[in-house]
Amino acid sequence: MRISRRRVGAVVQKEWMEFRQSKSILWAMSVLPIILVLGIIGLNATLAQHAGSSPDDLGEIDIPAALSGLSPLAVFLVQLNDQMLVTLLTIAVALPAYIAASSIISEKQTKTLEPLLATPTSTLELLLGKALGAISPAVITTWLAYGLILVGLSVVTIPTVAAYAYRPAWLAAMLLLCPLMALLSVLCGLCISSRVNDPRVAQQIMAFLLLPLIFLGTGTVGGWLYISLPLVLLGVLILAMVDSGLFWLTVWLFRREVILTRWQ
Amino acid sequence: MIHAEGLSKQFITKGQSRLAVDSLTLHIEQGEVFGFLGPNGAGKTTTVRMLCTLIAPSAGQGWVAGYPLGSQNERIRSSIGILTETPGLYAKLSAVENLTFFARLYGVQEVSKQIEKYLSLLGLWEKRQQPVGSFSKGMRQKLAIARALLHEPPILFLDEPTGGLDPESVKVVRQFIQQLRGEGRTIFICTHNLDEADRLCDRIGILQQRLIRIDTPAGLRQSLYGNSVTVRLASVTDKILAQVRSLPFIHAVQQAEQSLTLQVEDPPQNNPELIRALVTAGADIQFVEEHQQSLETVYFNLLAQAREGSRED
Repeated sequence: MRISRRRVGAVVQKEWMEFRQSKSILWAMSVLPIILVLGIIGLNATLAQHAGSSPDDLGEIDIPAALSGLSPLAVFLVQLNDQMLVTLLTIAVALPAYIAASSIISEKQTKTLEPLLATPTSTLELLLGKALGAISPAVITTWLAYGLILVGLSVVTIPTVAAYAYRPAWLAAMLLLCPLMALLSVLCGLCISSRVNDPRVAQQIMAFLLLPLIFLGTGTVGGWLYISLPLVLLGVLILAMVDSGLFWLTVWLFRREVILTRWQ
Repeated sequence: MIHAEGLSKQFITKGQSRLAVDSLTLHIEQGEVFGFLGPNGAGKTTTVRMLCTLIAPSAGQGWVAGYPLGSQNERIRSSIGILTETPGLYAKLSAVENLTFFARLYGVQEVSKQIEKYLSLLGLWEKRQQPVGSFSKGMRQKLAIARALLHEPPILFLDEPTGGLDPESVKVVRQFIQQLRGEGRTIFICTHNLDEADRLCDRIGILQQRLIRIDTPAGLRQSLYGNSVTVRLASVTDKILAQVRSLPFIHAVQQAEQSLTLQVEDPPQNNPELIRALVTAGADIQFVEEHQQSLETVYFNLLAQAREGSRED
C-alpha cells in the first residue's frame, strides 16, 4: 500500500492550522504544562531548604530499594518528582484524546468530510495525517515542559534528586513511552469518533485512558512502585504492540460509506 | 467519459432494506453537460456518490474517466471534481488555506498559480485571506467550485450548484458552468431547478430510483406529448373539425371559440399537411401558432406516470 507523504503532510498541516485557531486547544496546551512545571520546581525549591532536617520530621515513608542510599527527604522528593512527571505524561494522553475525539466528528458536523473523502487521499493517509497532527503538539509540549523541569530542578533542588529526574528510565519514558501513549490516545479517539456522532461522548470515553496513569502516579507517591528502566521498556513494548494493532483496527473501522450515509 | 450499467444501491439500516437507486444505465460523452433531475430522495446524491467512489454500488458496473468503479477508485477521484450539496469548507481557515489543503491532496503542482486563477475567475481574490466563516453563502459556493476545479479535472459533479443562492450569484455560477462547458469538460449536474437544467444541459435524465427518461430538453418535450399548435380560424364548422380529427398525426383537438388547439405529433413535418387539410375543408386561417410544453410540465407528468406505474407493479 503506497502512502503519499505529501497528502499525509497536507492533513497534518491542516490540523495544525485548525488548532492554531482553536482557543480551547491552545489553552489546554499551555495551562497544564505551566502549572506542572511551576508546581514541581516550587515544591522542590521549598522542600530542598529542609535538606538538613532529621528523618523524623518527614514521618514514615516507604523507600523503594532503588532509593535506599538516599536521605528520607531526598527519597520523598524523588517520589514526588516521579509522581509529577507521571502527571506530565497525562498531557500526552489527554490533549491528543481531546483533539482526536472531535477530529472525524467535527469534519462530519461541518460537512467537510465528503469533499475530503472525494480526494485521492486513502483512509490510511487520512488517519495517519490526523494521528500525527494530534500527537505532535502534545508530545512537543510534554518534551518542552520536561526540559524546563530538568533545568529548574538542576537549579533549585538537591543535585542527587535532580539527577533522578533524568535517569535512563525517565529519558526512555519521555522519548519512547510519551509518543506511544499519545498515539494510543489518538487511535482510541479516532476509533471512537468514527463510531459516535457526538464529540463529548468520545471525550468522556477517552477519560478512561487516564486511569493507568493515575494508578502509576499513586503507586509512585505511595512508594510501592518505582519508575525503573525495565518497567518503562516493558511499557514501551506493550504499547508498541497495542498501538500497531489499534492502528489497523482504526483503519478497518473507518468505513467511508457508513460515516457518510448514516451520520445525518 | 461516464458509463453505468445496471448500477444499483440498496441500503440496509436496522434490518430494513431500502433501494435508493435501481438498475441505472446511462452513458455520458466527453464535453457533455448532463442534468440529473428528480425529487428529494430519488437517488440523485446516491448516484453521484457511487460515481465519485464515495460509496460502493450494491450491483452493476460503472466507469468514470475510463476507470472502473471499485478497482481504480483513487484514479477516478483524481480525475473528478465534486461540488457537494453543502460547500463543506473549513470555516476557521482562510480561502487560500482551504484551497491549499485540497490542492496538496490532489497533487496540484503549481498550487499558488491555480489558486490565484480560480479565485480571480470567481471574484474572490480580494477576500483570499479572510476566514471562510465570514463568507456569504454565495461566496462559499463559489469557493467550493474553485476547490473542485483546482486540479483541472476533466469531469465535474455539481450537486445543486445554485441551490439557495441569490439571483446575482446564480448568474455568476451559471455563466461559469457555461465557460467550463466551453473548455470541453464533462459536467454532471444534480438539480431541482428545471429552468437551470433546460438552460445548461445538453441532455437530462429524470430519476426516481430508476431512470425514467433520458433525452435532450427539446426531445423530452417532443417525445412524450408532441407539440401543441393553435390555429385561429374565421369560423369553426363541423366539417373542419371532422377533417382535422381524421388526420393520423393529430392526437387531441380542443376548441375554444374560433381557435383550435391541436396536439401534433411532429409539427415541422405535419403542419403543412394540416394547413392543406384545413384549407380543403374550407377554413379561413387567420393565425397559426406553435406551443411547446414546458420542461416543468414534462417533468411532473413523467413523475406522475412513474408513480402510477410503480403502483401497478
